[in-house]
Amino acid sequence: MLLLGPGAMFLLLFFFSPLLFVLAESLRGAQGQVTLARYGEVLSDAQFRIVFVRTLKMALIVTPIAVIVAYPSAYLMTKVSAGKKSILMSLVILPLMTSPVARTYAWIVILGKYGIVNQTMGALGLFKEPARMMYTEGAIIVGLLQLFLPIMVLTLVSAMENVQEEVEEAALSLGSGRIGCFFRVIVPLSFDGLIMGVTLVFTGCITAYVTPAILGGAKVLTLATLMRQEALVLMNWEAATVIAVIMIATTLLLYNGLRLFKPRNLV
Amino acid sequence: MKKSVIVLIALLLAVTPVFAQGAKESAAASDDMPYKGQTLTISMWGYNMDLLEKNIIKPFEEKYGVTVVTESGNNADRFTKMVARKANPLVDVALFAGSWSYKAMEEGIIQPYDPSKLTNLSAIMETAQDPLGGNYAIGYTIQHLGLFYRTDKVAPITSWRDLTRDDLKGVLSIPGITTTYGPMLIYMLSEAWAGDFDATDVGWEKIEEMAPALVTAYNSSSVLNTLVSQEEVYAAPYSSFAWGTIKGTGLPVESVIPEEGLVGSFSMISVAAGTKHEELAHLYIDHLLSYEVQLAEAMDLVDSPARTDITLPAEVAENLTYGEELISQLHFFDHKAMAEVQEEWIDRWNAIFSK
Repeated sequence: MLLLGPGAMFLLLFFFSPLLFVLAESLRGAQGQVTLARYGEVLSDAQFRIVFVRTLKMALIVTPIAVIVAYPSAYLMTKVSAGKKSILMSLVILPLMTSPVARTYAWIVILGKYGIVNQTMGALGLFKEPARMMYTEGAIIVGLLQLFLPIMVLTLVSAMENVQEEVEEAALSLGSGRIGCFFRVIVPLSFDGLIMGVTLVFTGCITAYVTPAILGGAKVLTLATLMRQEALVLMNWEAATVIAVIMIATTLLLYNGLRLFKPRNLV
Repeated sequence: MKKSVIVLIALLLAVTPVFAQGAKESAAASDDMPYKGQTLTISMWGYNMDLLEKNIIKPFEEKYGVTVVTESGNNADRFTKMVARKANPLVDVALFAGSWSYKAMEEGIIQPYDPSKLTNLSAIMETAQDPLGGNYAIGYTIQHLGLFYRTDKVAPITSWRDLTRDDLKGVLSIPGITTTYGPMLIYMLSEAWAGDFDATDVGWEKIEEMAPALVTAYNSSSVLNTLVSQEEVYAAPYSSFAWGTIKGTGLPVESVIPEEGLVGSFSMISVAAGTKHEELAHLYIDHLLSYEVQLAEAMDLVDSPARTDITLPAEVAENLTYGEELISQLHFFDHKAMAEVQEEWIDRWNAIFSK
């Protein structure tokens, strides 16, 4: 219990207190009374709804793709020798060591009008004219996927490392195929890691600011860029606090919703 | 648990002096240097900081024996910090773009200056001496929203009406509504199409017409610089201070003065409300308006002079907001009117760009 102290105190002071403050502020009426009026105002705003649906849509596209791409890679990493694993881990961690701003700017060079993608497609004769890729939802989705894929891989690797090899061998010796074993044994046993990875990536997508701001520009607003606009341009901190609470509520809902799907017959 | 609480409190107490630094000021003042040892805190932009240090801050520190501390960042961030610390202000002098200075005045985070303490005030343009009224701010440098195009890619631009031309579709960018010049662009489009700056519905119609074919609307000059250097954009209205970088791409670009003229604006300096260094704050403002500082800033292409007695060589002048020909073509807009419509205009803008 004593060991939890410093961490708990830090979180209490610098995380839970501000969070409670934001929540209280979002519920405070003009006369100081508790009211849901601000939520009503924000939720009834057509602009907010468009931005909310767009942000949710992007998170719901990025997260499953991250799962599909990360699962096989993470599985492979638990199967290779220690030396190879350490090289693969370094490759996964490397992007995390680069600033998100630098990583996102690199996409401008790749997805730009005369970027690598357009030049390659042009050379192959697939594009007659350069395609517009920057400042679209597609650009944000690609940027977010690159940003959060390492997190998904790392979470799944640590979850799958806990799956005992004997369990897998038992499944195979009892007649299960490799694919069947993966879906019926490995995935259920690493489900906690999957929930964690999905929550982290989904939360990241909902709250990301730099990537949507650079790759989407002023044309494609997301919840985070809208919140900045409300707080720092319009000084409408009330609306900004409501948006912040809605962001938190959305991720909590997803996290707890996913836990309901956890296979119950497994420890 | 109890012990850990004690440890944490002890840790917090140990680091407190780190945060409280700067509260102490040495009292080594003398008759010839009455402010010696004092610290002046300036809230300003961080762009070109090395040149600002060289031209403004260092000479001031040496002249008065004081220390200048800067809090740098964009308008919105610095403004928010000052509002948050309103009860216990830290900043002595604040520099903002025009519309933000107006907001700062409304919010009560800047206070009126005393004209009798500013010997250089009469040397700057009359319109820059008190642009907000009530002596709340001084325009220490003039800027403009220019218009450029790629001479090798598109036909010459001669009017703001040209922005809706077919050959600019897919290669045009405009400043976003939350930038300094965003709202002013609406006024210019209204003037260009309806002959009336205030017929803003016409300006908005044109924004709606242009929006689908814009590369993007940019929220900072650095984004525009990237768009130009990546050859995504062939024409755009631009903030004059970004012109050096745009030209520096080596691409064939040309800036024009359209028939309706251009948009002008001032960057403003104010005494922060509740400053404990009012005299020193005035001395800093006067220093910024001095001939030497204004000339040095212009020669380094940092800021165009607000003083009227500065003569610049042609190669410097062409990169700045300088000279009768250009300045006579600038339109200045009312910050109060812009602040009043800001929220409505941002909603209107978001609605157009969400389609």
